[in-house]
Amino acid sequence: MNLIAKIKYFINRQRLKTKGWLFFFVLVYLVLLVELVNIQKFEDNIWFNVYSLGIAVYILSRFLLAYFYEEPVCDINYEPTVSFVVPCKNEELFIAEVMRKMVEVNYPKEKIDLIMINDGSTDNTLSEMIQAGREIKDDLGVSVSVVNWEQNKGKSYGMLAGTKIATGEIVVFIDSDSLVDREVLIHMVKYFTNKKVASVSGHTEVYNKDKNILTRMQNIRYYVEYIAYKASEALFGNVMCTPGCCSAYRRSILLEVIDDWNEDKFLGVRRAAYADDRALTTYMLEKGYQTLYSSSALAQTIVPDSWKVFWHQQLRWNKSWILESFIAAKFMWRKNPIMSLSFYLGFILTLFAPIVALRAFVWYPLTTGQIPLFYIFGLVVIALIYGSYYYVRTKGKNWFSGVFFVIIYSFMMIYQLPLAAIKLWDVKWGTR
Amino acid sequence: MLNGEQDKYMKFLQTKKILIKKIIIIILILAMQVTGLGLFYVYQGYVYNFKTSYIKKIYLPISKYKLKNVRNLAKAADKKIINEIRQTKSIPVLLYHGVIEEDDGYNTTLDDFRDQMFALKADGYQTVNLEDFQKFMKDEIVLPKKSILITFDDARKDSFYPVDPFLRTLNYEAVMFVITKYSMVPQDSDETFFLNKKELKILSDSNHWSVQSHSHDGHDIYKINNRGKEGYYLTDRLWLESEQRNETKQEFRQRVRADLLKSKNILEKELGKEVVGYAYPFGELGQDDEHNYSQAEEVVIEEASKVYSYSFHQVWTDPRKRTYPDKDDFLIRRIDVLAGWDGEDLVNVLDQTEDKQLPYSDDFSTNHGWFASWGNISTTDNSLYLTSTRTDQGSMAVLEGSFLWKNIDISAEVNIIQGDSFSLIGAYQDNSFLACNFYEQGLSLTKYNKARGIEELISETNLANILSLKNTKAKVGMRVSEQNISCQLNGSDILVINSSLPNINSEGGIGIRTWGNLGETEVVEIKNLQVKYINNN
Repeated sequence: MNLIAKIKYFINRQRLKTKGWLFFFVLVYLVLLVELVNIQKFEDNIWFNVYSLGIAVYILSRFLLAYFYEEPVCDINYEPTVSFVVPCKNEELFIAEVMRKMVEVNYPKEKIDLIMINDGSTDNTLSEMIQAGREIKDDLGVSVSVVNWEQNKGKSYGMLAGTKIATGEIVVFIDSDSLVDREVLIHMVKYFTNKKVASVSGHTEVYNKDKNILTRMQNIRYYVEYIAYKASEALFGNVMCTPGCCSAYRRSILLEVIDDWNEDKFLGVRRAAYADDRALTTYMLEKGYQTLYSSSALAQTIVPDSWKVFWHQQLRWNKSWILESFIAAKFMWRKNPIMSLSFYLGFILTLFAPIVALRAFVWYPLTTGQIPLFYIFGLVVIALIYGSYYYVRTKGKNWFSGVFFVIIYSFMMIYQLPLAAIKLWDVKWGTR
Repeated sequence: MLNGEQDKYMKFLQTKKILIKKIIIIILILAMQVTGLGLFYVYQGYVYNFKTSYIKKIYLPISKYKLKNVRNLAKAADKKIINEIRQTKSIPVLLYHGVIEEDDGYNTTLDDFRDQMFALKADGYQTVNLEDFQKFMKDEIVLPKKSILITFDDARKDSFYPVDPFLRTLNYEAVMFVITKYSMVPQDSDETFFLNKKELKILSDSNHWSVQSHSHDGHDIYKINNRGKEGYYLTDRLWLESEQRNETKQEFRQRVRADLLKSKNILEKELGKEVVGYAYPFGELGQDDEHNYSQAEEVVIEEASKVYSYSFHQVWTDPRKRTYPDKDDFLIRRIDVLAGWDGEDLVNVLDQTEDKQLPYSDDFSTNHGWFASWGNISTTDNSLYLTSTRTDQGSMAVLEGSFLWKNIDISAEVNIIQGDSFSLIGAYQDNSFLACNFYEQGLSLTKYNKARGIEELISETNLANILSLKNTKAKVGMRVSEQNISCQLNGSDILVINSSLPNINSEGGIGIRTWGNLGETEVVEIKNLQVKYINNN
């Protein structure tokens, strides 16, 4: 009876999955159909038709490439020493939990250590840190160093100082609001057997995904961003951003670049101020190192649950995206042709997105008196593709919020990109 | 060390295996997607031109028909054999324009069209394609009795998309006449009314359609004099604004020739198939009264015959609706399928125009194919009534399907109710005929010649007893044979002439006529008409 129930469950699950994939490929088919119609009407408006084709190629190719991405098998004999570096400010409620999660990882305790940087907190973060550090040292024998700055300096200075102090072969940067999984280290360090690998991104999930619609949407965004986009980039060893919430770096390489990275300015803007992680990754890539992604190295992070904070975070990321994309554009052509094609395609398409949106929603209705159905249809289909991809890969509920996410995110980005470009020199929101 | 190497090799094999599996999956999915795209690409016209009403009006009835057909397969096969045994000497050519949703008094509605197609099939009709039609016209093949050619003018989108499913289902074929100016334009994406180049290529390549010419510029209205009077392309000498004069006859001829060639060349170049047929725009051949060039018809036909093998026009006033290889060579007659005809109406029309077998007897229980060339006719109480109002100068009815008759005796009972004349018509050929005229003073035999437009007297007798036709049932007769023509009254020959007289033709259809002066009304009743072969003993 139990066996039958199990089989039934299995079949049911398979059926659900098959249905999901079927839905996904029907959507892909819809996109292809739209593009077929599009190609046949190419002369009508060549630039916008090329744009539409480019978007479809870009997004679908990412899903296709990600499909070919495989995790390497663990090499159990490779166990380098690891230092966790956690810069933080005003995290009194959460910091002890963050620290505990780190030392509880499945890894020889004598090979890990913690470096906590209190970047001018105005609450009890410091005492929480010291308290938790003492407990950890007593219970597990893991060494915990605490660096205390009375004045806030900024996250990148924390990372710099942490790297300098660290003794481990591998440095893992963890955001002060991120919780790591027990297996996280095993799945990250295995990549470093290859000497060309400079950094590995973990797979970050959204901790507070059930809080409200905004966090639900971000959850799906994170998922697709990692599982499709980072995986496809990892196929070529060129993950464009190994995020700060949970990424491992080879310390020897880190030391080569970290001083320059912290000081370097582009167009008069300090790069590390906006998105330290992206800037650091760009440095690695420029030097010809590989950056990878591990879908098994899990961590959880807390995302903004208010629209205002989300808005400012996105603005900061967009600023960083503009800066770093321009810098990366100078050398990405040297990389794998598929990767570099995909990079430039994504770069150019994103830059033109506000113009295309403006045309679709302002110029087109004004001149023809018609609703831009083609544009809306495209957007909704892409959104559904994201949602259904999330659904079939995770069988997670609330997949539909992913649809809203793509639409809202698209409009936000379209609006924010020019804004970010204008406000590039306004570093008010740049410091953290 | 060796172990490590082996391990690595195993890992490599495993990765390779996974990769191959993934590539196969992707190829399968891509193949499915590409197939799907291909299907869409081929059938996208159906997608764009789809109307929700098509489900109810086309696809459901077709599904039902197919289901029924499977059950009745054996029966249908029997019927087909019966039809193919008898051959035909003539073929009806149907003319359609658009197949539309709501009746506009001109085009055929989808409901009527569906009804017509199923009725044709149920009645055993089979379409011929243009190739077989040509062979039939050249007497190279024989066709079964219920053969038909279906044609569509103008190449409207709605003469393909709602039509094609029926053709496919019933295994019917059709000819599409294209106005190249509207359809074969370079920028074809915005045209929503006419089929475009790409669609016509699909039609042309399918085995259900043949694409032929319907002129290039012929469907526009043109200025024909300095006051801005408007005329047609093929009937009028157009006004040349720049030179302030009408074009000369020579210029007219050149323009017509150029247009005929242009549409043919465009179609042949774009579709890669020979174009042999031409349908006249508006059915005009210069026969309209309003034109400014009386020889237009001759010129147009002459020029068209140099470019095309066959030309198609409509017959509205001619009793002969069908096309005969023996009688027609270049001008093909088409039956205009009028708005409002349902399947039964169409089959009736086709039945009426069918070649009639001798001996023939008509009880006038219904109209078996009497066509009013002018005036009015009606069948009531087993009688045929010819009536003419004050505005007509008489009335004339011709029996459709009688045009191949020769060596015949016609007899009928006649009762002149009003007026004082009556004629039996024989040897009717394209509006030329012989007539036995019974009237107050006597009896005459006349010959009407269409080309000359006059009725010649051949012979005449004065008799006083003709008035007895009035309100009595007199027996009248006419004999048309290769030896002689005679008019008979109450069973005896009154007037006999020799058929060997010049310009006397003894083959053709029969008819009845009454005539009078303007302002008078005539009513003639005919009963019990018989036609039989002449007893040659």
